[in-house]
Amino acid sequence: MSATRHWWRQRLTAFFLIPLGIWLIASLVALADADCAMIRLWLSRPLVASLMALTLVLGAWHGALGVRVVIEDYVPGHGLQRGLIAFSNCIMSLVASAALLAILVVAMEG
Amino acid sequence: MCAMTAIERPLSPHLTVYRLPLAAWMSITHRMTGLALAVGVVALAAWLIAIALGPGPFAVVQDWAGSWLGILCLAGWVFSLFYHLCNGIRHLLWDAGFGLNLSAIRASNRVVLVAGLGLTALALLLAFIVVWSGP
Repeated sequence: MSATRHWWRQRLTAFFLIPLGIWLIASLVALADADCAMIRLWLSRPLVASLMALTLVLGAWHGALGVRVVIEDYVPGHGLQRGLIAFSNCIMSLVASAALLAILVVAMEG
Repeated sequence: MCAMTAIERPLSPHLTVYRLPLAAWMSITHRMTGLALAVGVVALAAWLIAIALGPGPFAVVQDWAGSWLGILCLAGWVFSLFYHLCNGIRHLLWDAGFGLNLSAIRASNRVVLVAGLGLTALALLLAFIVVWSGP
């Protein structure tokens, strides 16, 4: 990935995460004492499921882009850098995929 | 040329004796909260997976979230999100060319700190009210 594309993707994901981040905290605060059934009912609404999926994908993506910069700045050695960046990208992709699957399961089952 | 590399030149800035300005501390905090939020994405995913798996796994996550360590982590993530969000908006404005002079940066330092801490306090207060008022 070119540095310019990395820069743009970091800013674009950041921009969309501003409203999504506020929505996420507001939702979690409102659900602070909710049980599993109530949260499932909430999460199975199409708008909520879509927003949660978007928050997770963009959050994981923005996170992977940011962790990459930190690794490039503080980890010595090109090989170790490449390895750690690949590892972080793998973790973030896996986590996002698993969470998307979980949202899909809840949205289908209700 | 060899002699040149042998000379021990002073390094600048002297990070061990140099008092970092507030903007520098805030830049470091932006990265630290960013890393905390990357871990937070993993925690959010774990929460969603537990919800999909059912009441049993959900109770495990809920028990942890109600423990002192859980509350500390949740409070830390709420602060990290609001701080990173507020300072991130400032970064986007800087990227667009706004607020790049010293007096504007000193003013926006305060705005980001007050907004970040204020929103954190508000969210945590509301969460405690929701929990304590009960169903």
